[in-house]
Amino acid sequence: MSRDNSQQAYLTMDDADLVRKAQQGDILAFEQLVFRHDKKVLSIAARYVTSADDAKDIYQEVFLRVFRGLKKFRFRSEFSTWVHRITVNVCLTHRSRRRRTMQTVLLDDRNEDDGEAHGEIRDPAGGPDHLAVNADISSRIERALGVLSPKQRMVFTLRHCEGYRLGEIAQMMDCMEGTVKRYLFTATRRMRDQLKDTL
Amino acid sequence: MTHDDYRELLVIAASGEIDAGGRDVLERHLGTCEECRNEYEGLRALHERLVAHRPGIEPDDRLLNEARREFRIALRKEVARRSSWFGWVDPAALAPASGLALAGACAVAFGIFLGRIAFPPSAPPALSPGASLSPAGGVRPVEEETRITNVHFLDRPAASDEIEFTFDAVTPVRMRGSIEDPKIQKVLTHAMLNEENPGVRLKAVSAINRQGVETQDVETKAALIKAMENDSNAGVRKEALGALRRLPFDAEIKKALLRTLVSDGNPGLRVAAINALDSARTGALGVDSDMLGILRQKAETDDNNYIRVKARAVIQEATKQ
Repeated sequence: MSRDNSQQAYLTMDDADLVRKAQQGDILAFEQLVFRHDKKVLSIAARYVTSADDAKDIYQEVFLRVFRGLKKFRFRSEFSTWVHRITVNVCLTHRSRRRRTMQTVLLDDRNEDDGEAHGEIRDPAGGPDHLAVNADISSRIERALGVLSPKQRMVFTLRHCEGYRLGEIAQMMDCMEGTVKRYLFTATRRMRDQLKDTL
Repeated sequence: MTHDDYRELLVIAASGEIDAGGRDVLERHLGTCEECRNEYEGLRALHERLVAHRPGIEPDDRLLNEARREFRIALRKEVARRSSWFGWVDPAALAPASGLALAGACAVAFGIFLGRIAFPPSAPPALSPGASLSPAGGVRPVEEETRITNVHFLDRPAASDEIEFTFDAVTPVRMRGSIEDPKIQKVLTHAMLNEENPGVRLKAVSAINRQGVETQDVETKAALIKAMENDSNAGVRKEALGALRRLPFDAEIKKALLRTLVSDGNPGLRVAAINALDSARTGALGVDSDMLGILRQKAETDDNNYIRVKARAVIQEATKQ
């Protein structure tokens, strides 16, 4: 399809047709595929990392891998599943590069005197410190996630924050559902231990 | 089931994914086991905390637009890399090494590539500083030496005593002339699409827009459309859209504006696109079924309130006629 064809044709085309066109070098079809799936990709990345730059790096790496690998895509799975699997792989690799930094932060924070803050968290009434309290809870959750292994963190955020079902997560991570359950179980136990004072 | 089995089931239940059978089993157990009841309440509290205080960063429209823009640049480089010789050559190394200054006395740095675009194919590459490149005297190389870059050795048979390589010869060129001059337009077109510096791309589009050239050649129009649709910088896209509005409205421009309305992540660009389409609505091209379809979609789904209202108004006007 040339650039002159109406964008509407792409909008109504299903993924498989767009993939076939993109495999033949149609860059507009590829862009349409990106527009169709990139919000999910960015959302997974953004929940997994802690900075906008990291999320954008992951986004870019995912779609470059998709672009490079598109000709080898054989429709053995849904295109979206394939993209999400790449996203998970990129996130896990990205995480492994940053992990040391995250652990250092966690160790540095271990001696914080946070008893007073805990009391505030239990108070749901809000007030002038409400935003600060929310930020504190978010910060604690981030720190708690920092103790999880990359795969535990991935399963945990995909399930609790992105709402994916365990079967979908298993497809994305290319493993058995039982394995996903084990990751989730371990991750949940560790998160509860880390956050017991705030729950 | 063992107690540990129930605890695993609790985790699944607390995350909101348990089937009816599992729920029945669990409810019966929770009725008799206080420890598991407490555990379940704790797990539910954890889940609710996570829903209320999602970790990571918010994947909002701004982040999405930034990610898309950066990806477009990366994709452009990837495509360039693929189209280079066997993909050996780093596209970053292929990019023009020097910048292009426009609007006035411009010091232009391009290589043989630019020479091929700006001058007739029969003209030899300007490798000799000071040589006269144009009888009109509007184009001349500046007093600097030609630089050799991107030397790339090609394989030769082992027994051969010759070597073979390619390279880019980069010669700074100064150019002055009217915006109506096709050579000037070709350089501006090239700068508009290929310069890495967005400021230079913006100046190139502005130069065309400011002069108000109404009879652009096909190549310039195509370049403006490409800039409006693909440039990573919103300012360049907006300026290109403005330049296109000065051209005679035709089917090609209309389709490009529709694509911008559909795809551009910047609401300002989408607003400019729908306004341009509205202005041209009463012309010969009118509102066809494709345009109506897109407008209906925008009227329902666009994030921007103005665009939704405007789309509805254009549909209303168009269906009256």
